[in-house]
Amino acid sequence: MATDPAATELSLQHPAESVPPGAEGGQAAAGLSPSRLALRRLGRNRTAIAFGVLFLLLVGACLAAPLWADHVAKTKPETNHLTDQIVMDGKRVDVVSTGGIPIGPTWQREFFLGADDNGRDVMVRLLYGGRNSLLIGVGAALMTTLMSIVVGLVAGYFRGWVDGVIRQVLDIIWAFPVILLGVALGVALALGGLKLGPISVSGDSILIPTLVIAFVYVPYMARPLRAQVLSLREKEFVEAARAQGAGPLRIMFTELLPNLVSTILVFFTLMVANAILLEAALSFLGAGVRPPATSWGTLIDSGVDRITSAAHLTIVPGVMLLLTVLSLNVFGDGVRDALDPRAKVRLEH
Amino acid sequence: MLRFAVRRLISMVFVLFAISVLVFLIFNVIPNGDPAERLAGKTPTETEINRIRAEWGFNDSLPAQYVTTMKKVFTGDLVSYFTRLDVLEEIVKGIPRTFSLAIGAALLWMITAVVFGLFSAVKAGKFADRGLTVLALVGISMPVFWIGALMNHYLGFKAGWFPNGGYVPITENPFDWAYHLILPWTALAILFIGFYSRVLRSNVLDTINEDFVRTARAKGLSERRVLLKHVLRNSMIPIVTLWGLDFGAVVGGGAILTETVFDLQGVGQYAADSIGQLDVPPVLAITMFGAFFIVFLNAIVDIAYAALDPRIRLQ
Amino acid sequence: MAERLLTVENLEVSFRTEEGVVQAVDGVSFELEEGEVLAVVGESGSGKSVTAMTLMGLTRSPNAYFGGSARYGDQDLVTATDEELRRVRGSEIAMIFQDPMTSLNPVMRVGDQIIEQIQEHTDAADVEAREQSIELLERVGIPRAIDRVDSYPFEFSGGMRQRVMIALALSCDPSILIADEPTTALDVTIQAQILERLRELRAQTNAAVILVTHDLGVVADIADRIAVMYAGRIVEQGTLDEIFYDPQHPYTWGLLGSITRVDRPRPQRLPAIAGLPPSLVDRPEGCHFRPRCPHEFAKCTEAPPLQSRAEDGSAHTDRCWLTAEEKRSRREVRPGEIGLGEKEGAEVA
Repeated sequence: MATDPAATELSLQHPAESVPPGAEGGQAAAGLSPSRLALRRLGRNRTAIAFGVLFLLLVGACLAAPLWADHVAKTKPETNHLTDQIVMDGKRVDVVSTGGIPIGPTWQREFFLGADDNGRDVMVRLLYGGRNSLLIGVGAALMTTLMSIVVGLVAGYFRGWVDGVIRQVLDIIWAFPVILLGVALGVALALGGLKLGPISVSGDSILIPTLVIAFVYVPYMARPLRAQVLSLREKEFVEAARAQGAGPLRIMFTELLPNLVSTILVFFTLMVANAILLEAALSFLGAGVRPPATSWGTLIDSGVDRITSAAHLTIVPGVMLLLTVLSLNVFGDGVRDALDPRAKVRLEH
Repeated sequence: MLRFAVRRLISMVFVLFAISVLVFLIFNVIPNGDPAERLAGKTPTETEINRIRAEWGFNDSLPAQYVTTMKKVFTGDLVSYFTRLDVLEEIVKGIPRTFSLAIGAALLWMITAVVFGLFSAVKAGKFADRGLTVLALVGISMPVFWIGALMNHYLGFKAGWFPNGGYVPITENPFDWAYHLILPWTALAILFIGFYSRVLRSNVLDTINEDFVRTARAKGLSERRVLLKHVLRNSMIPIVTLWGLDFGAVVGGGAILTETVFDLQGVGQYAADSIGQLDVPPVLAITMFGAFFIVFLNAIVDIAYAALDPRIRLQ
Repeated sequence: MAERLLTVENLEVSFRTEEGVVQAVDGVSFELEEGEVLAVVGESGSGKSVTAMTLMGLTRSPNAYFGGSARYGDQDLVTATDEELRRVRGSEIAMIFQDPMTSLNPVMRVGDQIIEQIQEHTDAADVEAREQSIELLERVGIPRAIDRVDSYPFEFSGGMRQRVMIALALSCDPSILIADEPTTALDVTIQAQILERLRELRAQTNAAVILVTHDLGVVADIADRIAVMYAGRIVEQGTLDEIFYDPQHPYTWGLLGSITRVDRPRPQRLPAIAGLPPSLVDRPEGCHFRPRCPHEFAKCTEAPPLQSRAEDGSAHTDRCWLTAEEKRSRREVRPGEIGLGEKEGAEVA
């Protein structure tokens, strides 16, 4: 048959799937690059955008912790107000009652979300703790991403014994359940800190949980990236680049890396969400952020100890954590849908 | 099939060895400072530190240290310098509790996830699907210890519908055993239900569009049969392996949070308590055994996968 | 006079997609008589597969819209309920799909897949159904059927798998067999075997066959009648001889002209129909073939109806405004050679 092979293929398995734009033969359809297409699809997903904005607002609020502390609540996260009183509905109320029970959310400028049993302002502690949680979460995710990209590229590109060794190491780390490994490392490093050659990190620094979390999650990202590099490597454009005399570094960064971007983006959002949750779990157990530093995990931990008398101390940091991770997950889902050209069900909105 | 199983078990042994080395490095080598001091606890005396150093061979070469550590772990010669209790004994006491929690939760989450996932996929795009997706996303965004604590407090303590934590051995009273575990099972399952129902939904939607499902419909088979025998059977294969891995992960350490919140005194809680005290020997032992269990379970899962998917085993 | 099995009248199928409404089938009508082989020929995107699948109800989805009718017996397959369709599928109308590699359930034994169908439509016992399936496998030419009935699909070669598909299709003795590009995914040599087998089986069972293909070579051997489809419409319909020796539509001329011939001197350039098939979302006004037709004239902006231009009103119909004499004179690019000729200014494939 000598008719033009670039004919429109109507896919019957996905009747809802669009005829690919640009392949609508006959007319010159303006081809949109995959990233523009993805952005357009993402833009149409109002839920994802809304939650993405929510996440940014939460981050913003936490970063603005000092502003809230100084100008609204007029206190610091560590300041005790055990014996203070505040005015509520015209009456004077003890911040911490004589029985040791702190007040719940007042919805006023001071003690907006209540106080803890040391009389400290929960909202202020929540925001400051959030800074740590977010710093660790995003920081760990960034480190994991960086390490995974390097490891995945090197293993996938060079193959052979390099890949063999890397794969075995990844498998071994992956064999540990995340919590167990995180706890083990967290405990071990909390005791003596970390010394890597000239760099030494104290056991109390929040860099420790960040490094631990980053390390633990590397296989979860490096393995899929490696698999993708392995398959990309065989494609013609890589061969063409090699024929042009490009060295391994150039191939890895100019040919392979751009094709990994969508996978990396999707994984990154997931990683931040998981890192925040893992940090909370580790801190809850005492193997993460160490006092006097706070994080949402440590707040929940101390809250649970007093749950019978002051449930708000548990509920508040938990809800904050839930909202943050949820917004990341919904947004991440939206990113994944936008980047995936074969969405399972796509109807007009 | 047998050859596959044997090969798999052999590679497992190698991985176990590598894991033991890693655990050894984590606890005795990587951290800064004196390992003997670390082990000795909060306020050790000089003599105690020296005794520990001798016992564990910290003055010897690294390989010798490794051998000593492994011997201690596997012969049960481990004692916590805090509690003075024999580590292995405590672990053995905790195992049935951890297993009860893990198995119940695993069954619960699997069955629920399959139902939700399949339902979601069949009603894809409609309101029911969106609703379940939201629930699933909330489920995976919640810290399990938080929701567990809240459930325990509101449903157990305040409402009195469920016991307020604690564990009853199955040999004593099976009903009570289950009654005490309902809340922990649910708390632990929520996260996994959220994750698995979405994975299953995605697999089912992928499979539903496959050619062989079209063929099945063209054969005039009932929709139910198409869904169950063709779609589900194929979508489940990757899920079963994931399930095995996660079950292993839960037993091997993932249960740590739930056990603590509900005071089940399982292996996980033992680990948590030890962590709080920075008591190394129990954490070392639990990490080792936990990882071993997982690797072993992974091998079993691989073998099961081969049993389920004839393409794997016959090639 | 053979019984008329199927009457398709003005069938319309459209899909709602992100890019707009795709009109896949635009008013298709044909009839099928007992025991005859109707070939539906066209390129990708012509709507031939969608037509075939719609007869079995396999294109039904929330995004699909249907019009017209397809009467089988006293049922209309287009409007029948799912339950009614299910009873017809596999037992009275059966289908063979294009890709044998993916059309069989990979984790189910071949025998079980046949047994499943038999037991759905009859109340054969397990032993009986198994015997029947072995017999079917023998009939389609699978050696050592008694052993192979317990094999998995991946243990067969492509050609063998297609035979299994044929066995499946014939298992309940259907009156209509729809073959959707049954040989496209196979080697040429295997193609011949499969077609041979199909022909034999058709002679044995007297089933009517709708053969959907893009390959006129396949058609020449086996078809009684041919319907040529382009951009969702039938542009010409007639007996095998009528289409091959007296084609009326320029598109048909193009198809015939582009078949490589071994009995003629090799042409300088492989004749092809210039241009690309139209977008199914945004169709040209009037005759769909107009943009690519060298013989178009003013009237072609009005959609030509499918009718017979011959004086005796025979069943050989076509969709072209040219008169019968004009067609006869224009269709020979060289003496004795039917072809389309080149459109000025159009891109050649």
